[in-house]
Amino acid sequence: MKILVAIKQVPDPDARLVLDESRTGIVETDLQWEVNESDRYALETALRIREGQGSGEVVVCSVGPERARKAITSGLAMGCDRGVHLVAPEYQGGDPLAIARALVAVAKKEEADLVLTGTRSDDLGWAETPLLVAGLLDWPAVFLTIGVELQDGALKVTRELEGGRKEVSEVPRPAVLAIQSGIYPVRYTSLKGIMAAKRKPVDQPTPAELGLSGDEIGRPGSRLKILEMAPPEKKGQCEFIEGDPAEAAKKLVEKLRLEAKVL
Amino acid sequence: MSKDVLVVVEHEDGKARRASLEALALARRMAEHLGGRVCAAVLGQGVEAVANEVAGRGADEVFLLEHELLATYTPDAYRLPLVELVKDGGFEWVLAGNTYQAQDFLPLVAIAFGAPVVSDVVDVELGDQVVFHRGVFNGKLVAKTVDEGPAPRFASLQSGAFPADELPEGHGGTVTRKDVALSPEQVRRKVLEVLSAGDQAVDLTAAEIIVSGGRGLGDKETFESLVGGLARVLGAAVGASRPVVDNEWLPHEHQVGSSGQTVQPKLYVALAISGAIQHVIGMRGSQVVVAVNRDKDAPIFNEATYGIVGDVKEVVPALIQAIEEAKAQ
Repeated sequence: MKILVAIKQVPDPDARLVLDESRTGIVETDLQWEVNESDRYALETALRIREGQGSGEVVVCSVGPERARKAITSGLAMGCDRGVHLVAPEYQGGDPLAIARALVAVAKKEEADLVLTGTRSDDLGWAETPLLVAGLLDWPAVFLTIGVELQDGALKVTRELEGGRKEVSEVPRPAVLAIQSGIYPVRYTSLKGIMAAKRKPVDQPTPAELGLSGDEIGRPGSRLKILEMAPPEKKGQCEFIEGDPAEAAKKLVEKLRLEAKVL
Repeated sequence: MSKDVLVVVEHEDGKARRASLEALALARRMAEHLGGRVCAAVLGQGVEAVANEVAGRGADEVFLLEHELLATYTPDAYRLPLVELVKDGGFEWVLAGNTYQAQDFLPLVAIAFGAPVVSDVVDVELGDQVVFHRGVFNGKLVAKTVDEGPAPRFASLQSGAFPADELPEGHGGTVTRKDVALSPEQVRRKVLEVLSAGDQAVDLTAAEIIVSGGRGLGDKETFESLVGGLARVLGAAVGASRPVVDNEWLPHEHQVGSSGQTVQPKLYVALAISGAIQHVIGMRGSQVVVAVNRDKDAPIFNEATYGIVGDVKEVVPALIQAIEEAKAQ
């Protein structure tokens, strides 16, 4: 079985963000980057499926500029077998549909039996790319997957529902699963894994090599456009309490007792 | 070209879900702006009452799509008749609440028309273009977004973003029954069972005070000493945001948010929680909210009554001391 895991590199969720001059993106210099949280769980799930089978291949794929190579290397260090990095400029800046077209081309070329992704990226957070991939491939998909069991030609999949309920279903393969954070504990990367990652191949196919034309991918292939980004409007009701920790703590406790009367 | 707006209505226990009524509220604004009608689609089995409800709450025409294969939700059974309906109806926009269910099927409908979804919308500007606002980077920024493609276009709306309070009662919309052709082999996902949440070992919904911690606490030990320590002096229950549970610092029963519990305490203290919408949905009903976070731009401060910008490792011990001193008085 061949599993394609599509991951995204995103800024550290705790990073302070600064808008760039165009005000449609952020300044990327000085940012710490990491593999998107739910994507790490997708990698873990793929590796567990391969280990459970005792055979198979896990290919980690990412659309992103040169810096995204580090995310692919993290996947390889966890245990993925090969990498595919869609690094050419034509791939960059796409909306989820443009990204999905590129991922579909990789899935077809790789003859993947299963495509795994996270559910939602901590940057633009469209939370729809895996389903668009499934739609284009005409494969079934499950969003918010919190459990997977391999069966003969099928998958037994648990999906998270609102309020802590769960749906258990059977889905034929091939399929696309969007993996929810927390499905399994994500393994720590070993030093051995990091060393091995350096020797694992990472392809960088051009759009032509994947049979993609320029108007299907990147900005030309996108219909969703961001006109402007801005900090959210403050509701303005939060009263910030100033001072050193001891002072602020004292003032806060006073307010909670005398003003809000909740203590 | 029709200028109609279609809302895909979800229902539970024979009633339209709140998220769908909120979508109906936005659909009314958009249809008025575009000069079209408000339409709705209700899919299920034995759901005529839902269709009537929606026709009364402001939809001009409700399409009722009933079939035995729609008795249980599956993405294929929803997708196939919806694609037919959207083809026939020629809608300008198709809207749905951004629920777990919509996330599971709406992009599959959109892609049948070569379209993506403008997802998780929090606001709209209706001018020459329809400009949607979306929270990005976990709510730290808002992106004004347009779909430059042809109709039909698709959008999903964040829960609570468009209040449903002003929907009319007794609106005289019509209900049109549509034939649905579905065969079992078209439904690729076979639902085996739905597991209820069961009795929560930890019931946060009755707590008067909750101290919650987030990823920013760094590790399990720090979480226990700071969140646990403050909860002890306040006599509070302990809550957590999703990453804490995912990292197994605490069991799932303590999770507050869309996939955990929805709480309404008198006092909610959020320690090192950034304030992602999935968490905020679960604690918005709190009477007083205190947030402590290093990042003054963290979205949690938008929900807070009182905020302290600082390191929880310094602020929380000081808070514990201040509370003990106040108690001693």
